[in-house]
Amino acid sequence: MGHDKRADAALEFRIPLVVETLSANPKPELGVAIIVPDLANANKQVSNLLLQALQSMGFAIVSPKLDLRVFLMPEQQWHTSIVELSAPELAAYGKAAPTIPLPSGRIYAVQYSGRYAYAEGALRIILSVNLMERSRLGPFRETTFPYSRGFFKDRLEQSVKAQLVSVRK
Amino acid sequence: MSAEQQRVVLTLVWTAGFAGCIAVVSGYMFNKDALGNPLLSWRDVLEVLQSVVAIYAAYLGAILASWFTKPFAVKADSGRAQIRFWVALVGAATINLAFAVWLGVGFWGDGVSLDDIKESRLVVGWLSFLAAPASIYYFGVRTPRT
Repeated sequence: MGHDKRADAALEFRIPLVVETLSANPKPELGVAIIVPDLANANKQVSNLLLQALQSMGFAIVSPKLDLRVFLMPEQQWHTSIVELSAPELAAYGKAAPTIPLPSGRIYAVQYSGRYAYAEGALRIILSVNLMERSRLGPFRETTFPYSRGFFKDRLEQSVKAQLVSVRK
Repeated sequence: MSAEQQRVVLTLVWTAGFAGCIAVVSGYMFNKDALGNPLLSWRDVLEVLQSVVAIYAAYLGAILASWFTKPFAVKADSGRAQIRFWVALVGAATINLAFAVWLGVGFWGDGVSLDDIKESRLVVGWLSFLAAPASIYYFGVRTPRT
């Protein structure tokens, strides 16, 4: 949190990935790890988890096109729709990154891009955050000033973890 | 009114139209919505001004150039000079006013986007028949189609 645009060029977060077995000891902690019956089915579960997390934040995955039979594969690049930041979200940003505030008098939106991979018993989500701005009547354009991309990474990470909790309840 | 004075009046109409259009477009930067967001940002305004200047460069540029070139021979007055001048004046005023009003669509229209504002250049093309004959007659120039 509070990093500038250059400092966090490689945004990523990890979530433990556990293969559920009858003999697993200790039992994986619910709501903290992704628990999959076997690694062969992990991709679909991870894809759905990511999609649900993004949807809960108002995003859709616009590329690639997903349906019930098509899901995200490891290392496959995906891009979300562009979603405007609400006033509470802007206020949260202001609190989280007071040293690099977003200039006022603009409408902001965010687009995520990323891919996932498996590494060392964890799901690794590698992200790229694109903050855009526009006037009331103008189109969205990429911002040219530094901002905390870590804030937006944290937001998605929290959303993914919230999905873990809701799935396992 | 002499032929020279008529040319001055028409030049002033086009100059005022240019200034008015720049004022309308610039006004978008200073008008804000309830949340304090300007209707257009500086980068948006530059995009619109680009098309405004391109249009006036064709019309007003040619008119201004005529003041520095050797005047062409004026035909003997056929007695319709006054009517001709009023036709030219109304044509020039109409095309400039229509352009300025469409440029200002963001102030009075609902659901307007930057593209709608930029499309205002179309009206100059549509109404060029009002200004082109007069420009040829008074300034000896042929205005290009936009």
